[in-house]
Amino acid sequence: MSNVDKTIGLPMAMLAELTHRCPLQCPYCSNPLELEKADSELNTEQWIDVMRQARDMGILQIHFSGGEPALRKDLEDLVKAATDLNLYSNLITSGVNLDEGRTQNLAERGLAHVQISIQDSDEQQSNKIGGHRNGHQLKLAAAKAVRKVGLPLTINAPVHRLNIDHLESIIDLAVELDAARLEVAHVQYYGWAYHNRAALMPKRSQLEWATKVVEKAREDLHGVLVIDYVVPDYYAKKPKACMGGWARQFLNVTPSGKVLPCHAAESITDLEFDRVTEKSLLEIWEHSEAFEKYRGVDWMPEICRNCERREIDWGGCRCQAFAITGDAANMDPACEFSEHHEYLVSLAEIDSAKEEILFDYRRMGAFDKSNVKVAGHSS
Amino acid sequence: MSTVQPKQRLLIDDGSVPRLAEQIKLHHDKIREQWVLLAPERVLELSGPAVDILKQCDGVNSVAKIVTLMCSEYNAPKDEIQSDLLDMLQSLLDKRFIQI
Repeated sequence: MSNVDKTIGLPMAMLAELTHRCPLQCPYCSNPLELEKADSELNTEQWIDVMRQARDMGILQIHFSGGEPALRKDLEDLVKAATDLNLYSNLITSGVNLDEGRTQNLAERGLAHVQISIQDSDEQQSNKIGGHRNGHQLKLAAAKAVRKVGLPLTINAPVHRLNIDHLESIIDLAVELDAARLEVAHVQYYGWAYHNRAALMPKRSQLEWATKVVEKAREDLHGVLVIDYVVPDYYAKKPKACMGGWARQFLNVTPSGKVLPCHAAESITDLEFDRVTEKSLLEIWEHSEAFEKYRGVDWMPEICRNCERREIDWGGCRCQAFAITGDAANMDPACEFSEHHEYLVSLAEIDSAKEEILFDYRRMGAFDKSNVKVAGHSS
Repeated sequence: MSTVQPKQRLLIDDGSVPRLAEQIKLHHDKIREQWVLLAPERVLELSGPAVDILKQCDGVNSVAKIVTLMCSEYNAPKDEIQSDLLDMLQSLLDKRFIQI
């Protein structure tokens, strides 16, 4: 433990993507377009070894994520191992595979918290967005089970053009489900969401309305529901501090063991990622090319390096810089000082003005034959 | 069995008996040499007085008792301690890190 290099910052949390398999097919999925297959997933012992290494280098929290982590039959064993290692564990789930018995088992093994995503407050629209016939009811049942066994609940609500007008009833639903926290997260446009952007991008007027709804709900529900709000970059003037700074606090391990500085980092196609099956987690954190490349402030363009916000937003999002400008070392175009900022705003304005209502579901291997689009009605 | 979340904001006062909320953990991190509060998707780094106060939020001590304890611990006037402590605990209550 003593040989951890504290000068580069200690990682706080690890996102453990146990699998890319998922019962849902949300068109804004944060997984990469090329999903990893089941036969490439790390096994139980490998995950436990990764968690031990994580604990030894200062990681305090583990987020079991996916895909759908509850599709792993060894989820109970992994939660138990995290508890034994003194790691604070969080399950980020669709809720579709989480019945009361399973939830009870996980709680008994020391799971600390559950985050359940909902696609909409309207059942029909929720099932359409998630691409699951009965997903909404299963999610509601899972949320009730989580509270019944005494675990704190966060509802995660990604918002976009297909559901943004229902935001008020989504907030009501979170209160009704006895959640302590709600994340209202405007979709971030990488990977699948970037691909489906024309069907998802809200109009600026919708965003402004949603922001007012959140501000009012925060006042009305002060002390009742904590609401975290993730604003959409395309309409922002200042970039978000993505991941709290590249390779500064977080790391992400993919189902097959690739270690990424953020879950979307594979969208930067010229980066190479190391694997836990080949190197230690500490060595990767400290020396992996992908981590070192944009860590700190030295890599920044001059205008960022001289900006007073350089250690507030850490230059924003590398994935967005790459997606929009083709070079991840450029300024995040969400920043008003970026030469690409107006272009970014114009993309949002053009997309949101389209009558586009077709999107591709996130499906394993479906991306290369993406002609079949689904019609989601814009409300 | 869990405590149902309050449906309106609770206000803390001298008679309140605070305790850490469900699944909130006060933890000493040996690597950082730092006390932290572990919460859902949050880590709060704690400084000296906050640690001492949270250690006393055990579901037995009232706020008034904690104020008395902190007055002797920090050798500070009661009015000052009481007002700072109520502000801090109210903020932690609003964020669901403690419950009463």
